[in-house]
Amino acid sequence: MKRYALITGASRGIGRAIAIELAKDGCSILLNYKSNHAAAQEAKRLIEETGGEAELMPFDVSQPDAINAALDAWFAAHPDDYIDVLVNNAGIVDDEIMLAMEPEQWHRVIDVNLNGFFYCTRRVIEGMVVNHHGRIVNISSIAGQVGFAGQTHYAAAKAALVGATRSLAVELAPKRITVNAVTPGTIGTEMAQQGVEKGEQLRIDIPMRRLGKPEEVAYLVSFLCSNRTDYISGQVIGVNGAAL
Amino acid sequence: MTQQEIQEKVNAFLTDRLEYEPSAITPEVELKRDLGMTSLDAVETSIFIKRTFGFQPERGAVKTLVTIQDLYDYIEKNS
Repeated sequence: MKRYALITGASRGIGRAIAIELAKDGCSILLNYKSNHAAAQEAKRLIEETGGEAELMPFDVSQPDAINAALDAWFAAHPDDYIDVLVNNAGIVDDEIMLAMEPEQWHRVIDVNLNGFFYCTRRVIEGMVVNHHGRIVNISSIAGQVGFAGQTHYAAAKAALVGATRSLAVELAPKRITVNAVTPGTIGTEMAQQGVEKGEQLRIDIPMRRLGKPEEVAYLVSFLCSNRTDYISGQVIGVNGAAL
Repeated sequence: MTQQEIQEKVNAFLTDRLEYEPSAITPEVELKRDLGMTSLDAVETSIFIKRTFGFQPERGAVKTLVTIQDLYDYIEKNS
């Protein structure tokens, strides 16, 4: 039986690296992205280049109707299958100090980074419950563990993901579904590079004196989604070069 | 589907999927008090009903059923 893995926000950065790694592990990838079709196509090509398989699944994780429409269509086309792996990775930043932050900025960041987790997970876990197996990995952030100016909304969402991970792990444990969170430090993605190009200093001292690589997050996610982790659930694991 | 077929399918689900003790499966047994049915078990039972008997129980309906007999009757009445 094919093992399907849905990775949200998988067209670039950490999500893309996770998709590639899980494809190498033998998962058939449902590659979610919001609107960057070219980047998603490139991610799909990279997966196929390594012998893996992927299908594109565009939707905005903050829009439950869009999620349901995409997944309804997928389930209709795969009546005997279920999604065994869900990686809630989609996220955005929109840095602003609170005094200058507009309510729309707050809500948008919470919608994508936190509410997206709720909408996607709620829709996917039915199959896991019925099959008594599943792996859920929530990509949180070191920002949810330490304070960064300009990221009250982002930090709130990422810290909330940690709390949600622990509760959901307890809820789903009787059905042998594991739920864990990964908290990347500063990873060398396009998003981080943009900050460096704008002349921003790194927000934290990294004892390893370098940015992390997306693949280094993906390796951990790959392990958490493997069949070696039946008894690892409700955990929060950092990938941060000893920064915390 | 006959009453007996419904009972057989429900009993198989309760023992094989929810992993309740086969010896405990009798009509008068209470789902929550005697078998320890959880909220998640109730949701799984709703999904089982939908997939096996072709109708979607209303949200929370399974949780209101007290005994296994109630579960048989509920399915028979709605399928």
